[in-house]
Amino acid sequence: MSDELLRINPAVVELRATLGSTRQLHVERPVVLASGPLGFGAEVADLVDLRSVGLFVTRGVSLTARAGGGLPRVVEVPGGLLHAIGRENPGVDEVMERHGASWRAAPCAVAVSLVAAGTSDLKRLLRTLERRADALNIAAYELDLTVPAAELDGARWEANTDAALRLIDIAREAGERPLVVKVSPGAVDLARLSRDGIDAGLDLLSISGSPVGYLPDRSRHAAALAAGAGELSGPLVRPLALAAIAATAGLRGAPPIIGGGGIGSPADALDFFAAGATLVSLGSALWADANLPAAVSESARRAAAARGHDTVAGLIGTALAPTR
Amino acid sequence: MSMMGTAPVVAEVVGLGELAPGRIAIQLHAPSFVAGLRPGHALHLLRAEAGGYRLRRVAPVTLLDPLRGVVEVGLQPRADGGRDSLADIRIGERVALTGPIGQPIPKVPRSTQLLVACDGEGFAWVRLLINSAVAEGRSVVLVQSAQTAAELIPAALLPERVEIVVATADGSLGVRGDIADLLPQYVAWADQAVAAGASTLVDAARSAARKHSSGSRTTARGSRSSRREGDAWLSVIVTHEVGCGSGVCGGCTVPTRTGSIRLCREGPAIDVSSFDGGR
Repeated sequence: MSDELLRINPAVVELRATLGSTRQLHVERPVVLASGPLGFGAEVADLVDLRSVGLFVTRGVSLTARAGGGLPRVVEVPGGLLHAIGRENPGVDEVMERHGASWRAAPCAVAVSLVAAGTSDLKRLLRTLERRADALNIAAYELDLTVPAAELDGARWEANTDAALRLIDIAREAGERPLVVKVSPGAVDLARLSRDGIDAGLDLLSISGSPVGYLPDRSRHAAALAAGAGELSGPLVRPLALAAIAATAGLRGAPPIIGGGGIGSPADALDFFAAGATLVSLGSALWADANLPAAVSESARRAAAARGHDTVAGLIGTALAPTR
Repeated sequence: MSMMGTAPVVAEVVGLGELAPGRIAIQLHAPSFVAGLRPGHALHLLRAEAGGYRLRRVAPVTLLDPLRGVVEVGLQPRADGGRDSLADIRIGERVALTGPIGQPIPKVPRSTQLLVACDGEGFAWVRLLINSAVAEGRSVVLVQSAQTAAELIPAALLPERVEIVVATADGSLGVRGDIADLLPQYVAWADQAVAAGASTLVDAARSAARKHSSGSRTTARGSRSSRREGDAWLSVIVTHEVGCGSGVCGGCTVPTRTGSIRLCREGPAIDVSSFDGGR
């Protein structure tokens, strides 16, 4: 886009945002680093310039250590990746010990992604985190509803809206920080989760989780992943994610939405803003392009300037139909 | 564009070939990489798919030509048999790459007799090891297995001094059976062994090593190994095809008795004694 077409100076376009109502999350940029691809924290600053990021979400953290799944854990599929890491992590105490200092020093907000197979796990996990949350500068929690739930016989929390709402309620009671609730585009009832989730304590809805997928290994007549089914990432998810975001953002009273799923370029990110995302979440594309967060912010600035907006918020929901 | 971690190098494709039946080898002019690469290392290759998606694909280093500054890597096929953009690459095209990924396969001190067990999948990870061992004057036995003779690694891809022993499931060449039928005859001879490939092959190698350490010392070869107790003599190579390459994503983590091993950082070769259970 040439500078002559810009209606205002991109340099003055505001990237910062304060999200949520009662519990507010402040971000300097509209870019989220998704939970998973970049680890728990200590290593991230060597991989991506966190000054170009608004919110870094850690890999999933559980109350006690989880061993994760067998290999292969990650395979290619047409248009993306299929993965089943199994939420491997050393448990909350060790994660805080190893990575807490990096959260404290991070030049962006940090959210800890919560892995809870059951409600009692979640309470204890949050209590453990809350004891050190101020000292470690934890800005928010991400409650991951794509995690398999013990009480649902291994189905995801998002597959049962009643169970998901109970979990949100528990997270709200146990934790003081803004609560980001993460679902995939395959969540069973996004409209109800969005509406009733706010009452239960949801502050932001992240429609950036991976839907379930499966790939056969034809030479072995078995699943390509050791775990059998896995989670899909990459461009093949993008249309699903955009549809889910647009459907949810168009609802009256919808919460702020973090949108993600297969964003591989600044142009992709603009599509997510247009569909109704307030922040965009970047994942496996970062492995190939560490500058993507900065490029997304710059692109958003210029797109907003070209349309005469002095804030990136002017880009949000421009592709949506009038509010129902 | 900047890749995560080490800075990428853009390399020209200067040759294409077949590494094993159906498996592509890509030769890249990348002189800045050659000196630092060792058997066991891989590179990450990056090329956009039709939709623009870019992944870091793990490509094991299979040959080095220091004089020409050329690195050959093996392209791992997608599990479902589908072809990605790298499978259609042409000579003269350019690919971004970074590395090395992983650590060299450790050499047992004073080893002179190397046993390698692999299948078509694992060959890319051990070809450079075999060539290097022969160049160092070590004796090398390659034990390989396949469903049928047409799937075996062609002998022309190996130095003449390598003794090749084969098993085919249909009996079309070599012993009818699989690698588990062959290995017991060779483990006593070797003072270092490396197994690479499907989990069944790796498990067979581990089983043969266990039986050997607790029982028979017969060998199909004349000379007995000079292996000492405590040597990390059997390494297994666990393959992986894609991931962050920085050890943070958890995509290639293997649990061992002494903690988790990240194949892209501490792997791909794992001392078999560090396993605490089945793979």
